[in-house]
Amino acid sequence: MNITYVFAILIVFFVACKDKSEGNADDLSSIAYAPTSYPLSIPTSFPKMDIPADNPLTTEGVSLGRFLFYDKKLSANGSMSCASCHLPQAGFTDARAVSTGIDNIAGTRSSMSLENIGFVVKSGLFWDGRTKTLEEQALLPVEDPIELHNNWTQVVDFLKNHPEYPERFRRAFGIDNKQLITKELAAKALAQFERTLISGNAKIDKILRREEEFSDEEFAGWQLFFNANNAPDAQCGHCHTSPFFGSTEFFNNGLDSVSSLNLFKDKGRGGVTGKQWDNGKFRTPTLRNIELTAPYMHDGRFKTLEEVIEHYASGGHYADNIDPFIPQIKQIGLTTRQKKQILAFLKTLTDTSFTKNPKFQDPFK
Amino acid sequence: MKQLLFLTLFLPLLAVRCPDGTPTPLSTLNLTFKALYNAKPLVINQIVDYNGKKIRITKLSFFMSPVRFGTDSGNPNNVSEFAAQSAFIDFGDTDDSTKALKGVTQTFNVFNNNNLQTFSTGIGVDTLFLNNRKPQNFFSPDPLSDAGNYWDDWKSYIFTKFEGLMDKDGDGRFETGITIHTGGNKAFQPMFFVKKIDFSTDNTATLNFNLNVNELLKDIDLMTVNSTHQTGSLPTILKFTSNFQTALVLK
Repeated sequence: MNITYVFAILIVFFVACKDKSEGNADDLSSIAYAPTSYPLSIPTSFPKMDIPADNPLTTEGVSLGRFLFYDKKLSANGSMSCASCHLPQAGFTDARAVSTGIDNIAGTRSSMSLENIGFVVKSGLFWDGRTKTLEEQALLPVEDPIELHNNWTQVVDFLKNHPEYPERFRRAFGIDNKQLITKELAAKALAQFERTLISGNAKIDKILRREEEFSDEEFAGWQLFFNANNAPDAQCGHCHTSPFFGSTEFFNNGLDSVSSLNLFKDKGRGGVTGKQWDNGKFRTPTLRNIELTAPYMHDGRFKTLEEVIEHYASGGHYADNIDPFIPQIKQIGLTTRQKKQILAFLKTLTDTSFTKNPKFQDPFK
Repeated sequence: MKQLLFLTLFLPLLAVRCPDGTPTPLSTLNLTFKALYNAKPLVINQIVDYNGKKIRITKLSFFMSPVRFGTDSGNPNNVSEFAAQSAFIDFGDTDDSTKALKGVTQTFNVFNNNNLQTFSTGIGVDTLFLNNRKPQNFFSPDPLSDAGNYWDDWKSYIFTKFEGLMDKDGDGRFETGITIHTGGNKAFQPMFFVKKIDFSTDNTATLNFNLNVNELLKDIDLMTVNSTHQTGSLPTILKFTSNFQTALVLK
């Protein structure tokens, strides 16, 4: 009788144990967690990249981020992904004047390039600098009504119940249960992938490495751009600083003539800081791969680079907070030939080895 | 057994004495800079009079390096405290009267505050150790890592920036840009200030400086020279940084 009792208890104990260790479908602990550091290749002329201590780059994290970046299931109707507005072949923009979300609602701003984005986060991301980190930024488009128009609860549910994502999260972040997948981890993975988007192999880079040479026209354009060798100062290099040909600052580059700073249609930086002097100011975008990212400006108003150069050469439109460099461009009176030289120089910033890099392409294809 | 006893007694001592291998700073030294224009605190973007014309100053910043304090009032090179390799003073946020009145403060740690009575620095970026380097050699958020503070053609950091807009023709529109940037080793301007630095009971001291912007512009005619990135700009560049000798005053 006593033996039967003990036997019965053991059976119950065994069943309970089995249920706990093998029957929990959410358990990921049997999958190996051995992340490997991602070999980020940074050109010697580039600065060091600030990588948050709590989100080091790993091969597994970058891989997960790449899948998430291209996964249309992150949008409410499964029609768009991050990559829909950041296409590699368009220098990680969408080559449209303004981006359109899943509901066909046009936004108010053009998609910004993501190349070298890991280096330029200092003053904030987006045209108006409203987020300070890539991890913070990556959370926003999913829920934005004019972008993916989803909600993170649904996205996280999708990721938890996906046949492959839980394992990818486990390998990237070491979670031992799929219920531990969060939007913050998804954002970390996206940020990791974005930090790998380094473009540093354009003709200008090869020239700096003494592997190629400027044509005469390109060289003249470079001198104008950077006021080098006592060339007239076309003022470009003051805001589009090397090596990214952009900056972390916000400027009013003379796009709109307004009689009052409160009359800017898009307040830009001012919409974030609440300061009227910041109205109409926008982050200086990178000019790397600029040949591929038409149309131009935060609202895509210029269809060609020729139009852009013409705008600056004219000294821009007046507003009380126009950047002092802009009216000075008109002072030097750029000739037609000089404008062509600047254009030729801009084309040396094209890096197709970056836009065609297999590591950055859609992993679902 | 002896070794065990030694370890038991000695290791905790080590842990208490040197938690991170560096000594603890004794004191805090604040340097506060207030920009003045026509003897009033300069509010960025506010309209001010310039020789009968209206201007709006939109940017004023400068590098100092190195930041050193000493005890010998007769010798700027007798340094007892090397506080920082560089500091960046930026008046960009002093865009209302309260902030302009408060000025811009940089804080430094001081390990020995006995008899400190000198502050030696240079306006610009140290020509021996720093100005031969480039932004990619520094980590963000160090201002030296910001490519916007470097000018390739000069092979130099931009030591000072003074930018603004002028209503040159008096029509109410500020259409003329002013971009007085300085840089290049020749423009580096060593500075030496002597004043007994008194630390309060909480081991904090503050040195207050006024930067007289009118004095910075002395003998520079913005009506004729409104940019320094042109051929022949060197005299203006040198004049602007040398003007710091009289424009920057320790109160």
